[in-house]
Amino acid sequence: MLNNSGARYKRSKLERKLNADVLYCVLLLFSMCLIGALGHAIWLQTFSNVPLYMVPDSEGRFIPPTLAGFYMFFTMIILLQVLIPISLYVSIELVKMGQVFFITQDIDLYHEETGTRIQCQALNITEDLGQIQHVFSDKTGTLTENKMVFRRCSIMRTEYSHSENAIRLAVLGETDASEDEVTLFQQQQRRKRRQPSLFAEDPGEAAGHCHNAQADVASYQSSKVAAGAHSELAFSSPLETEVVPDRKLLQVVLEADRLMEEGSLDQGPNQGLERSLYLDFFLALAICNTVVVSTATAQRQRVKERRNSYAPQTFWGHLRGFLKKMGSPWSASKFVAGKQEPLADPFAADEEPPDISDTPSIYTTTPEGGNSKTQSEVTNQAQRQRPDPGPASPEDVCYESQSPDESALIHAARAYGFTLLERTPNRVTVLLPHGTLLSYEVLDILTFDSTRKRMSVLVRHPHTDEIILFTKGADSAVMEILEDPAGGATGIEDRLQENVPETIEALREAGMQVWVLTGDKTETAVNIAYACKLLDHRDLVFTLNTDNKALCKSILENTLEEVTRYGPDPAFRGLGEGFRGQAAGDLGGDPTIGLVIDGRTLSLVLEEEDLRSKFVELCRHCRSVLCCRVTPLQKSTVVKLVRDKLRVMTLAIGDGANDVNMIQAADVGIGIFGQEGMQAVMASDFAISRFKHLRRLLLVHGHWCYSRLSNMVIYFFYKNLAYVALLFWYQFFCGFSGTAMIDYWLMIFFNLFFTSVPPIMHGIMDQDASKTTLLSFPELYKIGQHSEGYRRSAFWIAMLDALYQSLVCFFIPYLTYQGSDIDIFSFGNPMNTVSLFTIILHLAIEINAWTVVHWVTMLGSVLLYFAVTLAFSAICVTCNPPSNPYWIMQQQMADPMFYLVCLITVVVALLPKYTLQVLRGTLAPPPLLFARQLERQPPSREEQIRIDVSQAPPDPRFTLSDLSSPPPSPIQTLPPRKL
Amino acid sequence: MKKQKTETLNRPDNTAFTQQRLPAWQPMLSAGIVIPGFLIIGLAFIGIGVALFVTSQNIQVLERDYTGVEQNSDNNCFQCLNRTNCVCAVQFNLTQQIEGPVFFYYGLSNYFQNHRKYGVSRDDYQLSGDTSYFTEPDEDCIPYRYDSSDRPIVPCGSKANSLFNDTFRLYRLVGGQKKQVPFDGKGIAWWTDYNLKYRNPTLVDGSLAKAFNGTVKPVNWPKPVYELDTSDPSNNGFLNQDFLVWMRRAALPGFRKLYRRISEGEYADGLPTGNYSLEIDYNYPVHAFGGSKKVFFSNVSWMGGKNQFLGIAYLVVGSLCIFMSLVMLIVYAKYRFADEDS
Repeated sequence: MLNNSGARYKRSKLERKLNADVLYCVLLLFSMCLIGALGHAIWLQTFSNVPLYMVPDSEGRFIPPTLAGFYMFFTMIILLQVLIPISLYVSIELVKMGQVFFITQDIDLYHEETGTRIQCQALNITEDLGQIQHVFSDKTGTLTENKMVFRRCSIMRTEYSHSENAIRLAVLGETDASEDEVTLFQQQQRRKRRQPSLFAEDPGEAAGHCHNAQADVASYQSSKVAAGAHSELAFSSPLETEVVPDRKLLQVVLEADRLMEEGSLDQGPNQGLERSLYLDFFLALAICNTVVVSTATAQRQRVKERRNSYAPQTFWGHLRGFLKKMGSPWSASKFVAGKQEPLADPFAADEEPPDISDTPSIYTTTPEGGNSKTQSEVTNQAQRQRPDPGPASPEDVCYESQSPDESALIHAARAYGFTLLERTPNRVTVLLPHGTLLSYEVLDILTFDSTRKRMSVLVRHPHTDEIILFTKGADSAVMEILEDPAGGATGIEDRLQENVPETIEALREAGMQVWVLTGDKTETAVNIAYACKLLDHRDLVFTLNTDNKALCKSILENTLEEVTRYGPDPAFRGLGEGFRGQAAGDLGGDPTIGLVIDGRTLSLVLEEEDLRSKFVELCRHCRSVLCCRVTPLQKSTVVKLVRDKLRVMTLAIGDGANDVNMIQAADVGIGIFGQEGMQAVMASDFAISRFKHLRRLLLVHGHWCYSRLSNMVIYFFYKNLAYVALLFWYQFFCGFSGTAMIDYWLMIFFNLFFTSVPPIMHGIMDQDASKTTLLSFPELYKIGQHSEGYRRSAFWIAMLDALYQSLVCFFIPYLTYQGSDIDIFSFGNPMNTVSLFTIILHLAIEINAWTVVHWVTMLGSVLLYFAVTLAFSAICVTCNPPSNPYWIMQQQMADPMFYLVCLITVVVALLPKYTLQVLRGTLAPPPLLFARQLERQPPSREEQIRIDVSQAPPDPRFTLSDLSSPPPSPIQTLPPRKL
Repeated sequence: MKKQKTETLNRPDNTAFTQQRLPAWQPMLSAGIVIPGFLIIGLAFIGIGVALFVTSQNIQVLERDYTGVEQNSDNNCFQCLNRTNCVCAVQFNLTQQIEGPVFFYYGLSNYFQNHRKYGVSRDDYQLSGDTSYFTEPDEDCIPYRYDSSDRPIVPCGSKANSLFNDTFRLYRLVGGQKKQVPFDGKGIAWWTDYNLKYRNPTLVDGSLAKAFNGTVKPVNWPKPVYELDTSDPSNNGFLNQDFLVWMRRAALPGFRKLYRRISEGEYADGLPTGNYSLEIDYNYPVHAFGGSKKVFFSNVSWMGGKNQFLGIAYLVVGSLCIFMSLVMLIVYAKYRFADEDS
């Protein structure tokens, strides 16, 4: 919420261009009016005597020709003002509403599990989706699920692979692309030397244990099914909450727990210490966190109520509520901090763990009584809490964690029987596998922060009064300060979202450069980048990692030099070159280049203008860029840098609050409904649930919206000019007096009703290629990227066509009726009719796919024209004084000449456009037509067509050789449809 | 269960419309497909063109300019150029009979009836017989709204004021004798104009003239509107045929307007060969502003008056389409890829 800077007004690239063209229209209007004014003045000056038809003013005088010309300029503005496409702006808004409607209706952008559709917050930049050149993506929660899954652990250098769990995960979902985040547990225990005791493992007993363990697991699992149902409601899927324990590890742990309960743990020899370490490992998992424990029964009730009144807003509003609740552990830690003092000396600085031998006092000062006290405390607590809805049984416990990692770890501990039952500001209670309740006094919690990069909990053991520090942190952080080997390490997987590599691949083929900007450390980010095929093993990856500015500069220069040796501009998609370059790279020619840069280096780079330019220049050569350890501000700076320096359309996608700046900086900001709140979604223009939706959103909807809107905009310019020019040509035959040969109501209706609906429908519904085609041939996206749908040349061609058509529509009727006894509205009526047909049929040539809606609107417009005109001409005898179209249409429709004039005029007007379209479709089909033709061919003929394609005249922008490679089967990538 | 329900509620409808899967026809414009189209249009147009051309050729028109700018052997209107109340005559000889019914038109050129201010300078309510507008004509009529003594002008406005007032009489010269050719002036205006759009005011005491009491005639008119046709009392007021024809504004500065039909008696089959004299009461001044006046004798066909243009246009466009189909055929032969199988 804090990062949301309120409503923004973004203007799309197309609209910016359009505004420039509106200016051209204004200029055109002014020149027309000027011609009219001059023409009128000159015309008046040709008369030596005042003609009979000249009307003097009220005093019977005539104004001088120059003044009359001056007045005429304004009369002309009123007459020809339709040229300024005010209606275009209204129509664009309507079209965008329709486009947004269809985007939100797309069932393929609907996420079944959460029941969320795509949300379009920005209604006015739909067509920008079709012009994206750079994609900036967050990593966690965007490329990955941000759902941490416990995968494996290592205790005392023994790795437990959890193969059973892996199988279960494999069943639940694909696990191939995965990221392992290693968290190490360090246990710094003030341990007194335990008495080595002989611990012989009885095979029989062990087998019995094993049996027990299995039984335990079985019952646990069944209870988890129930628990899973509601814990999923609390935003954890069974994927995270259920962990199948590793058989070997479970055996060891249960044994250790049993021995501890019997009090015989100390009696074993070396194994005793080892076994206690196992217990400590799981205790660390259970305790060393800031998870909030709540009772499921109460929770479930509330969750269900919320679900009843389902709406995404309330859903997320609730989540925010949860987050607020999580404030308590933090305050608790402060509270505990006050108690830290007696222990401050030995623990203040964990960089230097005090020598164990120095602090035996801690242990010796804990008397035997203390032990019993804590025990009684435990029971007291248990008794006290029974009546409460508190930690009654492990099945009812629900965890609300701040980070998905913690929840994964605590559920892993729970799977081994170490259930965190209760957490109060100064006490944590853990249920051990064999039913013992251990209630630790919390002395302090050192919460995670970015400088320390780890978190610690300081507790007092209830039985031994030992003071134990559990620390967990990222491998790099913990390993650095570790003298002893780590107590244990866990591997947590943040799974890639489904279809991420395919999506990135498709975006690339569509000519987009994909960057990943993440706050994560380099190793993780690089791993993910490889997993999602952002980086390829054949790629040449440069890593920039330095905190020396001079060094940074020289590295940058060297890299740039080296990179430029690999062919000119392989990755930059400057008008199609990139397409071939990329294809060459795929064929094993020049390697493609990847760049990894970390936050420190990036901040150095961003400081200096010179370095910024070099960096951007370097990035142009890279197929992918990976920025690690970057702050939210840096994310947005990078986006702005690329957007401004390369003048490209940028898209930023992210799910967390740290992505808000970037989302707002980019031309198009996309939020992902994730685990981390609504900030990103609220700051975004479009909010989707999965990264894979981006492919469909851009390649299909983006392309459609862009091509539809650009076609419609050009059409509107054409339409207005074609109609207005008719009136202009007439001025040459009426002394530039500003007469219209068409009744002005019919003129208004013409724009408002007769010719407005078809282009709007076209802008909402036309499909220049089907969904399947667009997904199969991502290259088609480049049409929008290179703004080929709406070029200045297209605008001028449309304007010239409009002028030509208006000339035809005016002069064929003119030459036909010249010198006859035709009256003014009977003269204008065929022109109006002919214009209608020309304008409608012009659109018909543009329409790529005729659905029933197209037929209805097109035929409807023509019918409406005749109905309204006939009705208006019949009803209005004197209702519209200065102009009077009474009975004109009826009279004309009884005259065969009317039809003959209309027929030939329409044919002549549309002949050039139609012929050019046909010749273009035959001689130089644009890629779209190719794709469409390929799609039409039966599969057996594909070979033949490939040859034809390769023999087709080469289009410099689109080498279609890539089309000949079998397109990825769209059927596979489309989610199953319910019919 | 409830969860499932809410999710299905939010689930977009899986219909062909919302999923943009409506069955669509994708026209593939390519040379092969359009060849027959061009050919058919070409042939049809040539057919229409021939019909129009032949029809137009068969229309006979006799056209004479009588402005009198220069001295001319076949008319003596030169003498009337700067005079009023002048009578002149146009002599002509028909070597070929003009098939009946013959329409007689007068034509003006460089006369901008389509001038914007001129066109609106009238009062439709007044012309529809609404007497409340007789006392207070519409402002559009300014400066022809009231006369100098503030009496309302009926019919007001520049359009009525500029009524064409030349009159014509046609004589056939048979054996040195002038024999008047009867003109039919009925029904030359639009039926709707005569029957619906224009209405005379309600007669007062059975007199049309009294209905116009308190109004004055337009300044240029010699006679008031109820005395336009002295020979036929019913052809007076706003329903005078010549007035109606004039009030229907011409579209272009060069136009003609129907004056009479020649369809009675021995002239029902047309104007026979011979010498004719057209007597003109030359009143209407157009020469001062570069205009000219003409008369036309013409028969008409289903396509109206004589006009070569449309027939030729059809022939040209038809030929062009045939030519295009040939071009397309060549293109098709060379690049047949595009339309195979489609």
